Amino acid sequence: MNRSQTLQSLLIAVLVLLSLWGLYPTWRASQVDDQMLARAATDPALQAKIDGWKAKAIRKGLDLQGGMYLVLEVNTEGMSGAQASDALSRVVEILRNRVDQFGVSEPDIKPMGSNRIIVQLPGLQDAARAKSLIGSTARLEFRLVRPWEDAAFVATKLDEALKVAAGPVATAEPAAADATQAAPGADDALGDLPALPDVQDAADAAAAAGGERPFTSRVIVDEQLAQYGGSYMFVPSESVEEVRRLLSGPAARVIPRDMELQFGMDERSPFGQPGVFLFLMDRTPSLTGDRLTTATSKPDTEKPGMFQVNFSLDRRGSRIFGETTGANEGRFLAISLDGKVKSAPQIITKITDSGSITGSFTSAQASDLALMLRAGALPVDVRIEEERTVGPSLGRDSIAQGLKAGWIGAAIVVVFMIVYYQAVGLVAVLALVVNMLIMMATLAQFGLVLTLPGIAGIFLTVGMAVDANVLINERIREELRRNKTARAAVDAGYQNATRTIIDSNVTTLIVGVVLLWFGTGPIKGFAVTLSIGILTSMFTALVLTRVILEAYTRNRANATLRI
Amino acid sequence: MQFFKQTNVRFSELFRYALVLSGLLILAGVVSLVAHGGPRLSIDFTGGTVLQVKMAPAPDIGRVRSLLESGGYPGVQVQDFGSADEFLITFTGISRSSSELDTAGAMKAVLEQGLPGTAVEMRREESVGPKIGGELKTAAFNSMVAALGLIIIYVSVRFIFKYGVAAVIALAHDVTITLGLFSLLNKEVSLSIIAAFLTIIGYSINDTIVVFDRIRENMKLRKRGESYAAVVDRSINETLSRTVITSLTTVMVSAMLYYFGGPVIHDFTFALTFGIVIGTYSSIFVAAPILVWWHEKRVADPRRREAM
Repeated sequence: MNRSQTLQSLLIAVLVLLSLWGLYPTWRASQVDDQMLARAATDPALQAKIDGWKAKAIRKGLDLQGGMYLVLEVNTEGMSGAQASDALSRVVEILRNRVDQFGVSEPDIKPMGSNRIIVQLPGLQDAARAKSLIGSTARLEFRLVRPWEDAAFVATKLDEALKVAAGPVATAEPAAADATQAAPGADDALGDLPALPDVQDAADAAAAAGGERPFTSRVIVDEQLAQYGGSYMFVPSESVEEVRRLLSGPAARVIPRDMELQFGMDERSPFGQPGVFLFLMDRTPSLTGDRLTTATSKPDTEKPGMFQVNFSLDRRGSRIFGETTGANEGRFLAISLDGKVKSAPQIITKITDSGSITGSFTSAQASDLALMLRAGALPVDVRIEEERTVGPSLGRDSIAQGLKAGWIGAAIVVVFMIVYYQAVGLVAVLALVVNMLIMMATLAQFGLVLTLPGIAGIFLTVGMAVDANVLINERIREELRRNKTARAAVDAGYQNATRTIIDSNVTTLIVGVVLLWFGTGPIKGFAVTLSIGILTSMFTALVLTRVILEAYTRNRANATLRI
Repeated sequence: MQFFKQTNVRFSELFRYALVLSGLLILAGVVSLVAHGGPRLSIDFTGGTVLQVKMAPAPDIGRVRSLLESGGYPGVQVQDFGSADEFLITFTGISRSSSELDTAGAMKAVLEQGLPGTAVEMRREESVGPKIGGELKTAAFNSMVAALGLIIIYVSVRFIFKYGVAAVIALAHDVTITLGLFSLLNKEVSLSIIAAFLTIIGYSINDTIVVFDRIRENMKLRKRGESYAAVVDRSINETLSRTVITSLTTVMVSAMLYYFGGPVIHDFTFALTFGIVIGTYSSIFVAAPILVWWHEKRVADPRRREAM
């Protein structure tokens, strides 16, 4: 071997090793089964490992893992360019907020062009619900939080109603076990919340609390809570689902008609325990978001390092807001977006045309709240212009069928190459294997998305990658026919074939790039694998097989080549 | 093993038959396209809604159709898809409740109401508004033009202009015939079929370049008195083995993808398989004859005699 061959061999070896290393997470992720997931539920270290593999594995497109792709159009008619782009970013913000509810692991929401938004929700289960939520316009409202007396009253009423509804069966409900501390108005409730009662106590408490106080055993109701979040009720994270269920039942009818319960938007832990506030407030909003004209975050004038949000209202809004705030100084005013409370500041003084919300906001929190206020102030019309949803079962079928078809095709090619070209065919097959390895590793490494047409593209390049080898092998055959030695034939074969291979592949690559530009979703996946495949197959045919064949003929002066 | 041992087919004498064959294929396709008023476009381009549903127990297809027809979706199309319990439902009209946000969901609800006891699983739903449909149509057209234009430029730079023209005529030939076949078989042209067309272009040009490259090489080694047609013949013969084997391996893969790859990519892989065959044919029987014809016309003109 001469120096350049040694270098080339080294390069190939490094590439193959890198590819194997890059594909390791994909392999491990594909081995994760239900049993392993069950173990991971109790073993955070294992869960972290699985998450790590998944993050580095080849990403599956929506058509393979199931999910939803949406193109939304925002009606920006009559807006200036700056207004339109502001409107677009606000709608993106609203959507991000709403999409959080779906429990989708990697939602992708981004603006496209001047008035469109692309939403991708991989693994989404309920397409109908997602569409109705995404398609509705944002509802920003200011509502007065009801005073402590009302909260205590409603909590008692709910306890009574739920107790009757559940009957004696409720006494066995274990979910109530942790709730002995939270008697309404209990002064020590904040102090020793995290403490766990002993087992016997817990059982008794479950019987007593679940039976006597189905609501207040799950929800902390306390007058002192308001200073932490503007509300008198707090639901620890583990009880949120249960409370949501209770409140959606018939018992909620005991809530007086002019009041409404809403959960807080963000999880808080005001005294070490994570959970969300539950707000009892006026059913009629004091003010709706369309009266807001601007909202910006500014450094707090009184507390250095902290931030506040300034907002202003239109004329009618100023009049209404003046009346509300003037008559309710000291009460809390909840800012609610799409039925969830973002913040509930206290009314310090009467506010008319402009006001500010202060608190110990960080810069990020303040700009988040300001954006939310502006988002809700925007009554724009959003329409679903394009939708493509694939159910998870179809995605699984597609993977299975695509892979089966591909492997059968590839196997036929392999057999054919070996039968037709014998030893040299074997070298070509080796090149194919390396080619696929590098292709897959490239997908994983650059986070490119594999789609069903993409799988077709991979196997199609197997068919086409053979081409470069066929070109070379046919050339070598021709040269052998002219009575050249094996060595000379290999040299001449590569020399003549290289130009052809490059010219023919560049033209195909042109088409690949056009496809990449034209296609979205699954088609883009096809363009990606096709383009990568062209490049890697050129490399394996021109470098890898050459090194092997040259090494074979060079070591033996009179080597013969069966081809 | 070898399929071809130094063949010596006089392709230039077969060109006129090829002309007839290509002409007939194109004519059949064009007649069908004209008769149908253009290609049958999918909802990707016309706008509309497609649902792929799986129903257990499988209902009668006519029942599904009549339910949807009377449920507010006149002109709805229902077809079997892959297996007996799976249906593809296409609706491109305007539903009676035209303001509904979720047409697919509403159609599913109609089926669930009309067929009590039947589980309706939504396997896939696609919905495209007319505006985006129009844009996708333009994008599809532009992408084809861009692909062909870039190929002419590249081939003209690497070879000479007439090679570029000959190559692009061959590509247009391939796409026209495949499009015609889709019209004859009443298959829909969707976004993925456009992608298949582009792939056919990519494949066919690859094949054509290999033949052209050999013609260019052989022109330099041209023997005294050898006609241009003879050089082309020799070049095609020399590359014949490669042309056939590459097509064979690629067709084998795409045919397997067609048979086993599932109904979602059925039409896509069908177009690919057919396109690869027609693309191979066109490299030999369309692109090469144009070169010969062009050359002879120039040589016949005494003022413009030149080597190539």
